[in-house]
Amino acid sequence: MSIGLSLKTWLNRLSVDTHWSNEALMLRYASSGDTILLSKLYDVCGNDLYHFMLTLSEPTLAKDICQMTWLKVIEKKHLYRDSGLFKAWLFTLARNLLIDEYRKQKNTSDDLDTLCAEQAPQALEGELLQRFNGALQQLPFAQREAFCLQQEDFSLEDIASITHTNIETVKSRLRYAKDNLREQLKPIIEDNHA
Amino acid sequence: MPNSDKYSDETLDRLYQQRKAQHVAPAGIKRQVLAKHQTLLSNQQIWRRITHVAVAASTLLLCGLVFWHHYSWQSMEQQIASTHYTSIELHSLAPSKQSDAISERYAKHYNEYLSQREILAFHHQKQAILQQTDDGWQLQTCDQQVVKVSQDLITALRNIHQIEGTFKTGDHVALMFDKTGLILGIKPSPKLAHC
Repeated sequence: MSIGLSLKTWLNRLSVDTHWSNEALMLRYASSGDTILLSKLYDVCGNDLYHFMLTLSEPTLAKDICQMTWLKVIEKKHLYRDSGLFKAWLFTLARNLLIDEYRKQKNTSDDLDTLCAEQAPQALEGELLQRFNGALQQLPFAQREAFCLQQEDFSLEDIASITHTNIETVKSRLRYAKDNLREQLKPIIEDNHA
Repeated sequence: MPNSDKYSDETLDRLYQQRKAQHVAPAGIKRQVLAKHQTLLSNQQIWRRITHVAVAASTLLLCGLVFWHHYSWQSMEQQIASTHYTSIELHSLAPSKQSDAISERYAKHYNEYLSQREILAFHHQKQAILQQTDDGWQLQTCDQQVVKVSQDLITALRNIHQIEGTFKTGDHVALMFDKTGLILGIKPSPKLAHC
């Protein structure tokens, strides 16, 4: 029994060491429930998810939502279908949990924007980065969300799917987000460019 | 896209990545997630074992029931077989004299049965042609069988009015038998015998 288990674990380690896509890892995890596969998935997507949540909320809530999201991945792994990016599925779960959390706190979208704007600026090195962080936090929730998702290499279709909206709206949000950021950072960027 | 926008887009990308690099996920998240995963796995394993035990117990119970049913049926069959065997044993162990007597009785009854059946088969005829003889009547049936009726029987039948009228040779008569083949009466037949 223990020999079989060890052999299975060794084989899993061997297979995980080879290059697997997130989707293949998730499918294997869904069928086997192997901890190693979950750990690998976390290593690949954990930081991206946390940063996304951190951008849309505050650190404590971001941490809680990330934990809840990964627990949901564990509990609902059988619901994952190989119909899209694992990362998109993961971010959708996280976003839904965040929105639910905000609804529990009876915060509207405007309140969210206020809440995020009131967050203390992070200790970032460099004036440009500090300004960028401030400008990002000042963006409306929807624009900030769309901008972050694009930075995470999601396509317009994926962003529309994650945020439950249409592509045109996503395009519009992205345009406004970038215009706002450019506007905020314009003096510094021009100085650097010069 | 203008060059300035392209440049600023690249700057935004770079700034975003720099920001992201400064905000890595706390290690506690992964630790807690994996711990929770292990707990869930343990619970699942416990449930799986309970399920296995339940399935094994159910299977054993089912096998037990089937075996018990089979065993009880077999013992019942043995009991029946034993009863049969006992009755056969009595016959086989009977003295040869008794056995011979039974055989004789059986042969006698069987012969009686055969004769009765023969009577029923061959003489249960209603139509016959009468022929007067010295010691009685001779009745010839359609299948060329001859039934001889003694004078005593004729007289007895006349006394109980089972033979009425006078008969001569060549008359067609109807014979009436009982179920054992005995002649109960002879009457003139209005129709000719069809053989």
